[in-house]
Amino acid sequence: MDPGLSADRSVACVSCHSFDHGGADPRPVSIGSHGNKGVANAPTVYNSYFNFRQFWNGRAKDLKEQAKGPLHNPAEMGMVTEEIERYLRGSDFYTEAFRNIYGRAPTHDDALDAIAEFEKALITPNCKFDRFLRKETKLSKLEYRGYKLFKTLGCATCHNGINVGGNSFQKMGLIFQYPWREGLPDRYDITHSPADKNVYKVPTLRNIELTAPYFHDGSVPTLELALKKMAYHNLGFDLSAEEIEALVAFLKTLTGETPRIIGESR
Amino acid sequence: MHRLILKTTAALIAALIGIVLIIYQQSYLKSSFHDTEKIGDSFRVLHTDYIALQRIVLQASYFPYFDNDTILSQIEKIRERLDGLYKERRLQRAVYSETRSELQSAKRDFEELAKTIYEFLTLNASLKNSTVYLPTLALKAYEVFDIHSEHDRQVTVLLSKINETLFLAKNALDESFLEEVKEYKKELEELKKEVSENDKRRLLQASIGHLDLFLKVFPKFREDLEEILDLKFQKELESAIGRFSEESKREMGHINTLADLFLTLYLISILVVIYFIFRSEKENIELKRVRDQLRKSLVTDHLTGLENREAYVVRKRMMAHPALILVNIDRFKHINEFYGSKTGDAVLQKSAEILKEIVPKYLRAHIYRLGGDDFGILYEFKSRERTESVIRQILKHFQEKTLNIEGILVDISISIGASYNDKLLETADMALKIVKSSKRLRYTIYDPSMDLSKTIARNIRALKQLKQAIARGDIIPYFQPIIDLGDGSSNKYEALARMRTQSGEILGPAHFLDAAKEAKLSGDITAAILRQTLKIAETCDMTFSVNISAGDIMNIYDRNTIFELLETHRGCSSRIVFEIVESEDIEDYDILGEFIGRIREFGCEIAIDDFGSGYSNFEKLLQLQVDILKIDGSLIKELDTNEHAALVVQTIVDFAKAAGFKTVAEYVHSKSVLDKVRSLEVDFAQGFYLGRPSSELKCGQQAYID
Repeated sequence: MDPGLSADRSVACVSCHSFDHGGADPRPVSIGSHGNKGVANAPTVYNSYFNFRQFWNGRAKDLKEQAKGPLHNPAEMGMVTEEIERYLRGSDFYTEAFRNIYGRAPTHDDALDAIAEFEKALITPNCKFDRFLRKETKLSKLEYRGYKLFKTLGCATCHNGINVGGNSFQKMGLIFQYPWREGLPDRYDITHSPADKNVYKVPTLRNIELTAPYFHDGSVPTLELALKKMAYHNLGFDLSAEEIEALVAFLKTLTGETPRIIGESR
Repeated sequence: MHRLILKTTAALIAALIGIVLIIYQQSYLKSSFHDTEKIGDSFRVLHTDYIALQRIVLQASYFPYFDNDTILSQIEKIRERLDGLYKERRLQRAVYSETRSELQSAKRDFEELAKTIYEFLTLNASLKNSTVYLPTLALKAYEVFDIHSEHDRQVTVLLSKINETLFLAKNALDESFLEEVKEYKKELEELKKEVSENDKRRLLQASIGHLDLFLKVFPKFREDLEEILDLKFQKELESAIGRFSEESKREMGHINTLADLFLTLYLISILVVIYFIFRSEKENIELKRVRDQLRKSLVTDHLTGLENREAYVVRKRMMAHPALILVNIDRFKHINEFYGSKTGDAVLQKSAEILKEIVPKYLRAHIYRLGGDDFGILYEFKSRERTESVIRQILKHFQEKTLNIEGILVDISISIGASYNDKLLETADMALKIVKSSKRLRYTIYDPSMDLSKTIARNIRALKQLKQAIARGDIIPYFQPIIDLGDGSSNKYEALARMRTQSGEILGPAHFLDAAKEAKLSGDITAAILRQTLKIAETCDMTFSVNISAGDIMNIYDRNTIFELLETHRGCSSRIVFEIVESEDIEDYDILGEFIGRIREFGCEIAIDDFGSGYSNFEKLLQLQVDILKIDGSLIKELDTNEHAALVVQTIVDFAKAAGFKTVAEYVHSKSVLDKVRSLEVDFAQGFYLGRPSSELKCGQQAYID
């Protein structure tokens, strides 16, 4: 939450991973220091520990590696290693805290480690669907119908696992192509294999009702529209209004508790 | 000592190294087995995990929806295991380099596999998307299309066929169905051209899209799945396991070699210890040998090869009732002087040989050379008879023995003293001395009655005193009057030697005369008495008798001293009477005769002292022309009681009268003896009854008997 870690002291992690928006950025694309615009919508920081990779294209293998990205990205926080260390060492608070935890003056690596450790605490357990799976509660008829549709329509083939997503790369626009341009943070950006165009890490569906706008480009402002688009591009079909209603109801059962650590810091 | 410590330390160190090596080997083997077991287990678990991963992937491909997390976590698990195995401490050893390189390539291959699995997950979702959704579309077709229309019925039939073929293709992973699918797709596209309604077109368009996707994705999907289910990684793993067991065997070989080495070292350390023990034992034996040799040389007489006095002392101590026969070669000193010591040595050697030969074996005796010419035969005492018989055998053998020493014939004879008393050597020696001092005895066996040891001790003391007294001038004359029995007066004294001790005590000759004779000091005593008597005689007009021994006369030095003294006192020398003890000591009557002749020139008279005690040689006495016979005191003192003694005295007096000798009776201690002496017509008398010896004397004629 400390903007001191950005080049012009204007942005912090929380600037783009808003606790009021499910750990994501309510703006279509994030705006970094010096007002630089990014190319993608910031994914939620919540439950990111459970993702098999980090970033839309999974270029970071873990949280620590991920934390390095925005810090150093000129379009985001725009810092360099030395500057980060200088900043942290200039602060009595950080110096003492790092000495207590790491037994030495703040280092760049320790700082990344600290951020990653913090992110591990940003989990949102006990959503209604969790409790349903644990047989602690029942879903409403509509929600249950949405859950069934979620499975039969094939959503679950990609959105599965603890994070209801975040455990494979998949193509956006399997049936009907999704707009693509050079520079998007897709797998192609890494592999340069044509088949990887518009292939992204499947985003988590936890807290999905809070993390609008949707998709990697933040182009879709509502869940209904997102569902519609997903159905069209990846199934080649339009969902009925009833189907959308049920699916939305189901998706809303994925909203969990606010991470405890945020409650504490507030 | 220093070397001993060094050796002990070396042996201890060797043993310690051995123990440490064995302990090290044990712990090394233990940890080796433990590690090998652990690594083997890791390989097995890895293999199981891998099979499980394959199973999960296969599940994911069949189940319409599946939790990808299980696949991802399984991948992570295997990755960690591989990493852990690769970093296993034991595998860092050089011997496992190939296992490590196998593991390295397994890791690489696994990462490839993981990549393939990620790709599979993408393709799988896409395919499932279509295979799940195409039947849904086919179902929807019944709502959208009119089955009563030929065209529409074709569409629904085609969609069903498509579903059937896709099902087969996907589940059988059979690419050959793709040709059909392509055909169906073409047909579907043809049918689509004839459709104008929007919803029908959308449905067909979507179906074609899905078919397109299937055609595009399936080959890659099949390839990926086959690759995942392929046993390549398994083989890689098996090869790594094989390599590991090979290399661990090799390491075991090293360990065994090491163990052999340790064992060898341990054995060597034991050998070192044994070597030191052997060495020290050998040294001990050598030392013992040298010690024995030394002792032997210490206890052996080098000349005769007999044991010496040391050996005798040791042996005697170990015996219960030792008996000793002491054999002495007579006049050995003379042999040595006459023939030379070389011959003397040869005599000793021969004598030793003879003794060794003739001492009976049953005696189990030890023969020693105890001194110059003394041989000892030591044995356990059985009986006096046996001892005597042995002695007689020895004597018989040596009797009139003539030894041939390199052509020189040497006559030898021996004397033997024997004893089985305490103080064995001393008493045997005492017995030997008795034999030596006797003319006739050839041997004697000690018995306590002949104990001369007290006498000897006394003599030694007396001798010491005597020598000092002579030096101090404390040998002084005491004078005893000699009474003329004719008129009862006296003008004669006998000068008797007395010794004045330092404390002023006056001792008679019994105290020192034997010692003086032994030490050949009697000449000095005679000279001292004569000198003082002559001095007195110069002023005192009396006649003085002075004792002189045969030994003194035989000694040229003493003789000359006497002559010189008489010469210096020419004026009174004629009043000196020499009393010579008639004894066996007179060996050379010529010298005696010559001596007597000389002193007669000074006017001296000659008396024979103690006449009647020895064996008197009347003929010789007559030849010597003595003047006076002094009758042995032991005869006189018994005169009044012993008829036999009176008879002897009578005979002597008769002989003396006939020969013209005067007679003197000594030891007249009573009136009755005096009367008897008178009645026997003895000329003179002396004794306690008539006058005790005194340092004082009265010069001039004195009356003693009224």
